[in-house]
Amino acid sequence: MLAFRISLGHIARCQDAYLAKGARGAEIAEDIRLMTLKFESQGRSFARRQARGAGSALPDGRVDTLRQALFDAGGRFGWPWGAADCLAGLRLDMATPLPAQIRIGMRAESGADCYCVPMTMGPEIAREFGKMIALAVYLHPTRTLWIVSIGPESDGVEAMTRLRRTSGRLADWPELVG
Amino acid sequence: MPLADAEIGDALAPPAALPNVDKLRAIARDIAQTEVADAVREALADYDGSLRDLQRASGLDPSFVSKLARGYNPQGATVASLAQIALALGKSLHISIE
Repeated sequence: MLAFRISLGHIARCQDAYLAKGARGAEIAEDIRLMTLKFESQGRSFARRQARGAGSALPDGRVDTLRQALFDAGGRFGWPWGAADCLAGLRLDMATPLPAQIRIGMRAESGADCYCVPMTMGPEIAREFGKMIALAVYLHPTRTLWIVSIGPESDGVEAMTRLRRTSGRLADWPELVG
Repeated sequence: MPLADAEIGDALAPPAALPNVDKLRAIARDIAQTEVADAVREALADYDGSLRDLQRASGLDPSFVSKLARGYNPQGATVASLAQIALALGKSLHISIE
């Protein structure tokens, strides 16, 4: 069953980095705090619905699974859209596979079906927050989709590059998704 | 006795940047819809009656309750209306700010 988690430690480090950049950075850090609260609420809701959903719970977060459940004909209605609010902004077309081997905790795991992907906010939130995006990482061995970073879209490329570099260094995974 | 400045600061602990009220309102609305929808749907999950029965018991419009359960809550449910639903279902309402 798919779990939706937020890497609070890593996001706090993102906030700290913006806070060090003066007034504009502090404003971005505050946006990150609010977005994190939104994701936490959606994550709790998702967990509750998954637990209650029995047969309709998502088995995993592979790109094909999510595409089918959320976007294919019948998928949107077969799996209630409201229940998928936390997944609605995933840009699955931009999913980037992770290395063939990854490390989760102290264990080396296969990186098959693991990916990182940018995530936009819902329309109403996007209007208020301008161009903020999140970066999500799906780890198939644990069936967990982690929000690992939130920030301005203009910093997204840099964040994605940093994430790829980090995910390439196996030892850094515990830091990233803790 | 009035609080000293330091005590007020400790009590309020504002974020580094003052929140933009429009952004805070948008997030609050979003969270409220999610939390209310989950609570109402959960409360209705083991209810044997129909929404009409609930209307008779609570005095609330069934379409209003149905919209709350689906997360469509543009006007915002009042705490009193949630308590009405809870009491009509033989349940209680608990609210916490953590």
